[in-house]
Amino acid sequence: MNDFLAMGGYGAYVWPCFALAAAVLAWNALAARRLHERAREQACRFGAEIRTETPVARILTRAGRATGVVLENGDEIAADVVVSSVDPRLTFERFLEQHGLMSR
Amino acid sequence: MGSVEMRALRCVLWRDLLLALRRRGDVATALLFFVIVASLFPLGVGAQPNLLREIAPGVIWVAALLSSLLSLRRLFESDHADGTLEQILLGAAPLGVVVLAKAVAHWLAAGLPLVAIAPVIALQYDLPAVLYPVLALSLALGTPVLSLIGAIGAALTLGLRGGGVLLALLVLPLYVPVLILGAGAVEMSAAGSGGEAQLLLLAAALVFAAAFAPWAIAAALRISSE
Amino acid sequence: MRWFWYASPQTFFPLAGRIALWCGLAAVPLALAGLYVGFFVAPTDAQQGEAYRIIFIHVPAAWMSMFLYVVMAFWAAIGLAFNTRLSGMMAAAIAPTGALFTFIALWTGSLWGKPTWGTWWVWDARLTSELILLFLYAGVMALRASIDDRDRADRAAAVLAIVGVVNLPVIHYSVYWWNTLHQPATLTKLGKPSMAGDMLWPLLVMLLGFTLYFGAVLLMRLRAEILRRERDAAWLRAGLAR
Repeated sequence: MNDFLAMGGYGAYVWPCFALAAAVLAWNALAARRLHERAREQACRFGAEIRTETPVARILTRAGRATGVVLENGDEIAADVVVSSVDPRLTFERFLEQHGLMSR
Repeated sequence: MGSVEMRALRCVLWRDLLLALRRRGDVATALLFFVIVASLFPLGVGAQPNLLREIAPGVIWVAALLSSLLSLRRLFESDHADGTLEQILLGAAPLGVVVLAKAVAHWLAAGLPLVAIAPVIALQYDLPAVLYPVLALSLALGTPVLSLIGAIGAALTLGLRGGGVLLALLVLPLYVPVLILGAGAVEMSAAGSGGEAQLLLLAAALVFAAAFAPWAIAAALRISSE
Repeated sequence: MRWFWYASPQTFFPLAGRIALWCGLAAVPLALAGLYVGFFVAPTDAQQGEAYRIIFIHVPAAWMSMFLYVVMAFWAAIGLAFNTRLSGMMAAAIAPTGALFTFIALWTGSLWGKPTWGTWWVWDARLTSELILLFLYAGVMALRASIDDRDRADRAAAVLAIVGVVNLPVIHYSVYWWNTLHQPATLTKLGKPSMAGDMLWPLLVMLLGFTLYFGAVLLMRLRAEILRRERDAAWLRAGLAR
């Protein structure tokens, strides 16, 4: 066994070669796999549904964080993040009026 | 070539030469770069005459390569910026002929001056005067090839963020055979066995590049301009 | 014509998955068999001792690196000629693996050079040629990465790959000639050992193993690329929803 590892005195060159090749090839395969997994996740996630003619009535909050919106037709949509492109006055006066932020 | 192609060739060639003449500063800077780079090597490796004589062909050729690379950016950039390139792409003149004319103009403005200045650099390196003709001829045959191959790279990287560095990365590996043949011609000549084989190969490379590079440059320009 | 049936990402996607799986499963026992024969059956070389066994990695990797560049250029040409998106994705998926094989060839070549020639790096024709090949791969990958528009990126990289493959034999032979100009002849005698039959077999087995490995990795990258680009396509959404 020792003879085998020594490789006739060249062990220090032969084994790093094979180890390096195995490491690089394994890393390549794992990277490809990770790329595949991540692409799959993102393909599932980045779908967007666009609704028009659907006015928002209120922004729901809990413990100081936005948790969704209520539509004028009564539907509730839960969300982690609510982005309002309406001007700040309108956002705070109408959609968040329950907090009375504008009266302070 | 028909008369339309000849007219297009003459027209574009004349226009580009005129533009280069008006921007003499650009031409001069590339030339100056060539001289400066060639002067850096003795500062780096020491000024022993024997060493300098040995490395002279290689150094002069590498400096020529780098200088040619620097001046490639302006081959298509200014035309791309002011919309002339789009006009050319839409125009009736065959694109292959136009890009060939531009490459020739580029060589006349950027490559030919190098051929003229090279004996002065060779003087700095104490290269025997008998080698000057081979050196000049190898550069005269090689620099057009550099212009043609470089134009492919310039067309591919038109308007990209990576800029000049990306162009260098793309084009320098393709320059290697020209470098080997060009410097090799002078070295073989210095060793006494005559550099004819290398010069002939360089001439063949020039013919090959002149025949096929325009296709690649035109294809690359169309891809980059959409 | 049946050829174009699999040219659409939609039909090729599931096929790629199946082929990738089989390639991967076949590559492992082949590589192990090649290594076994290479280490235990192949005789010791008279000149280089046990160090020559590095060729069982070095030569297949070098061969793959050059072969893959040609394959990449082939798919690039197909993509330009027939305007098929999948060919461009294929060429994109080949480049990283090709570059890594070139890197392995360089590294193992260097480690082989130290005991046989005495230095870590020697401007040997083969190694220098591999180095320039690495630069060519890097150029194609860099060009593709620096263009945002996927279609333009594919086509630009395709033109570069084709120009590169045309230049490849020129570069190869000019480097070989350059080497004879600057190296004394004695150095070339310590090159590849003469191929005894027992040495050739494991080499070919390793080559086949590498090819199957490449097939598996290529198809996985290709599937990832398809997922990324066809994100909004209806067939993909339906497939993922299941």
